[in-house]
Order: sequence, then structure tokens, then C-alpha cells
Amino acid sequence: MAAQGRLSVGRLARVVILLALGLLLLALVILGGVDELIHPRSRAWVMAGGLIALLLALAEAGRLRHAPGPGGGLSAYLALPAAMVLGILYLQSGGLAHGAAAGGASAQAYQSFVDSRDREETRADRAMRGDRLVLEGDDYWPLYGRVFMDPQAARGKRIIVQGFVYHRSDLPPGHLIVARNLMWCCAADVGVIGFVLRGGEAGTLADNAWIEVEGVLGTMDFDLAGGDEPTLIPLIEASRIAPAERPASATIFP
Amino acid sequence: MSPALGIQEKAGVFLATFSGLALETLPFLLIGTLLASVMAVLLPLGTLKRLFPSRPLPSILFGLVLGAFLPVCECATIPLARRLRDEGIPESTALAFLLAAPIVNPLSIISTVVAFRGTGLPMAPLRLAAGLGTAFLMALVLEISTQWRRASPVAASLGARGLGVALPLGRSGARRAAIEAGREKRGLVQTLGLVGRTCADDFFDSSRYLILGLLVAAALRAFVGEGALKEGLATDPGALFSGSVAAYVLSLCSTADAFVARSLFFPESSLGALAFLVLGPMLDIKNTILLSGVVGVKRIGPLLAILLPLSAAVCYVFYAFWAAL
Repeated sequence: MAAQGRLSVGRLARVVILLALGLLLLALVILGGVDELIHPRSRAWVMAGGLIALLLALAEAGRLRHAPGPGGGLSAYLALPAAMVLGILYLQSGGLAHGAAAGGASAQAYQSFVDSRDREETRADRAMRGDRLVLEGDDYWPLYGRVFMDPQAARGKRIIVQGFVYHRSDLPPGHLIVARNLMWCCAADVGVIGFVLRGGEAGTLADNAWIEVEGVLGTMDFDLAGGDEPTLIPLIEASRIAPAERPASATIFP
Repeated sequence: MSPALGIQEKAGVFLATFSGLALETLPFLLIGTLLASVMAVLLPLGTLKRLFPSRPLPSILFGLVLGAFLPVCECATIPLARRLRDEGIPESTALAFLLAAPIVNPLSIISTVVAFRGTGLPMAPLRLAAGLGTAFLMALVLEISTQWRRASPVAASLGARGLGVALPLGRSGARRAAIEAGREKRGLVQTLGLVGRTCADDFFDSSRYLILGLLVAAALRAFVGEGALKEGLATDPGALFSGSVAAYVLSLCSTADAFVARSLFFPESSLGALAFLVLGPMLDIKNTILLSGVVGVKRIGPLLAILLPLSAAVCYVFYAFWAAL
């Protein structure tokens, strides 16, 4: 370790970087705002990371008069703030999640995913026996899975669902997908799931606009996953399409 | 198909992916470096080495199962593997731990079981078997190469020029000496301070490479897209290649990649899903750059050149064995 001397600018930069990183991680968890970027189950890890970064800042502050050793290169000081600035830019921009979703072409394949984690009767099972399905909050994913698992069984039921408008060129004219973002782990694996709908002004709505749809479930043959054989999927025959506010928790977390 | 993205939307994908990956991986890197620093400061030099078997083969096997007790993903295992190497554990054992830990850790096993439940495909045991098999063979190659280098002057010369297959995970001899100096006289406060300072040094050593890796991974996702990866690679020369390349490029966390593997490859290609789940946790873009900061750029090439075909071959063997049952 270098001998004690004047205040080390390099060491001071490390303290600032660690402080900023720690405060950013903790603030994102405490004040909210991480849900568009990581799965809620990772909050504890982010919190732990933030606390460790603050403790490291404290340790670094104790040796401000020691020059940083090897590994204290300039790139470290540039890379970490760059990460933070980019993250903050994303959060401030707000509406970029749709872009992220559209980028994940694999996401359409989620329609084939069947939620098989529980075989016991759940709220979703009871809802499926009724004639009206409301897909919102924590009910969205289990009901979505059950409707896609057996579209025939869901035929004729009334459905109310919110989502953003997602047009695909391979859909017939007058059809769109009322879509939601689905996240398994973090923003790197976000994809789009949703229901095809037709009726009303479906063909003219702008991409990414949030809507609430009410209609009756039918079926259609369509290759929602892309590149495969068409399969039987649910179709909403919309009777009402209304503009909606983007919900506070717009992303679905299985 | 999906609407074509404009440059603004691609920038959005890039920012979202990068920020998400950074939030997902930086805490694990911090946790991994903290664990490694606690090990370094609290355990006198040689303590860990005494816990490991002295003979190479049992030592490698011990390294393989060690990761089962650490519920952390691959970002945390690199500093830990590096610390093992610094403690005098053979490189082959450190490599076995490095490659196997992200696959044998409990979080990865549980997520794989959940993601593939109901498919009739025993993906979790297949992933475990192929992952452990690949890590074992890689460690064996390194052990044989190390012994050959010691015995052969030509090989030693190649190794000295950075051309051998070697994994010199530790470059912190001076730092280690500082930790050892005055160990007996250190009180609690000094010990905690030393843990913090060691951890900060390790973190700054590693984080710049990790962030560079995340930038590359996010750029590829935004400007190439996983759909293009899937469509472009799924046909020729086969699902093994497709799965391996997708895993390497997408750089997903091993604790959640099973869900993505299922949506990307299943049911069209179970073999592609297996290759995706075995190679991805061992080495992807972000970890290659992170590891290259530790082992040196010259040594990453041989590591990749052996690991990529080897993991594909092991996946094929285990999958064929299961299919024949």
C-alpha cells in the first residue's frame, strides 16, 4: 500500500462512486421504480448490494490519503457512473418498456406456457368456472395461463382486460393484441404476452396506447409464437374498447 | 411478425436491458466480493487449502459440489473462485467450482424444475448432469495441461507467454501479503476495516469488466434481437449450436434462464434448451469480459475454444442417453 500523503483524488472518486451506487440501489428499492427493471423477488438482493456498497464507501473513506492500488484505473470510475446515468435516464423516460417488449420476439412463445406450479384449486380455477373473467393484478397470469391452456373451455365467457396496443403485421386486418410485458428475472428477458382481439376500432388504435377491453372470448387458429404451425388460441370479440391509464404495476411477474 | 423497431425504440431496449442487467448483477458481484474478502481476512493463509483434498481428482470433485451450498449466480462465483486460487487451491479445482457453481446452486435447480414441470422432460437432472460433466472435463483438461506444463520445457515456455491453457485466477500477491501482515494483532474494528478495503479493491478490479460485458450484451439484444438469434441460428448446423450461441449472447442470470429457455426452445428443440442452460451459466458475454479482466485476454481464447464444443458434446451425450432410455 502506498505511504500516507496528500489526499488521493482517485480514492475520493472511489468513495463517491460507491456512495452513489449504494444510495441509488437503496433508493430504487425504497422509493420504488425498480419494477420495470427487475423482478420484485430480487429486491432483497438489490438492497443487500446497496448496503454493501455504502459500507465499502465507509472503508474507502478511511484511507483517503492512500493512492488506489492496481485496479483503481480510470475505466472503473467511468463505467460505474455510466451505469447509473443510463439507469436513471431509463427511469426518467418512463415509456421505454414498450420498446423493450417489442424487442423480445421470443415473448410470443410465452403463450404456450402453462402455469403448472399448483394443481390445487385456486382463485383462478374458481374464476374459470364462472362466466366472467377479470384479468387484473395478481390474477392476470394464472387466468392468462388457464385460458391459453384450454381456449375451448373459455369460449363464450365475458372478459375484461387492460393492456397496451400491439399491432403485428401477420394478424388479419382489424385485429390487434392487447398486450402486457412479462418479466421472469430482469429487463433483459422482458417479453410480450396478450390476447388477440377484433372488433370496434381495433385496426386504427395507435401502438402502445393503453386500453381497457371488454368482450366475449372465442377462438382462432393463429401462429402466435411465430415460425410454428397455427394453433387454437383465444380471441376476444370486443364489445367495448376504452382508453385506460397505464396501471402502476404494468408488468406481469410470474 | 413483430413491428420493426426504430432507433429510438432500440435505444430504449438497450437502456432497459442494460439497466436491468446492471441492477441484477452488481449486487451479486458485491455479495461475491464481500464473501471472498471475509474468507481472505478471517481465514489464515492455508486454512482453506487444508479443507480441500490434496489429490487432484478428489479436489476437483469437491470443487464441483461446493457451489451447491452457495445460493448465488455466476457473477458472485468469479471473485470466489479467484479467492480459492489465491488461497493455494489448485487452478483445476477453482475452475471446476467456477463452472459448476451457477448450475448446482439451489436457486438454479428450483427454477429449472418449476420452468419445465409438466413437460415430461427431466430438464433439471439433465442440466445438472451435463453441467457437472462439462465442468469436470474442463477441470481435468486444465489439470492435465498444468501437469504437462510442469513436466515439459516447451509447454512451460508456451505457458509463460500466455499461450497455454491456464487459469491464473489470482494476481493479488501483494494484497494477500498486506492481509497476512499483523494478523495476530488485529482487533475487531481493524478486521472489519480490512474486509471493507479488500472488498472495495476486488470490486473495482471486477466491476469495470462486468459493466463492459453488460454494455455488449445489451447492445446485441437491442440491435440484433433474440428473435433474430433464434431464427438465424435454429436451422443449421443445429440446435446445439443455436442454444449455445443464444446463451452466450443473451447473458441471462442462471437463476431465471430456465424460463427463457423454455419459451425460446421448447417444445421445438429440447436439445437446444439444454445447451442454452448448460453453457449460459458457465460463460456468456458479460462473464467472458469479467473473466478476461481476471485471467488475461490471451487465456480467454483457449478457454472458450475448449468449453464451447465440449459443453455441446456433453449435452448431446446426456440428451441421447436420456432419449434412449
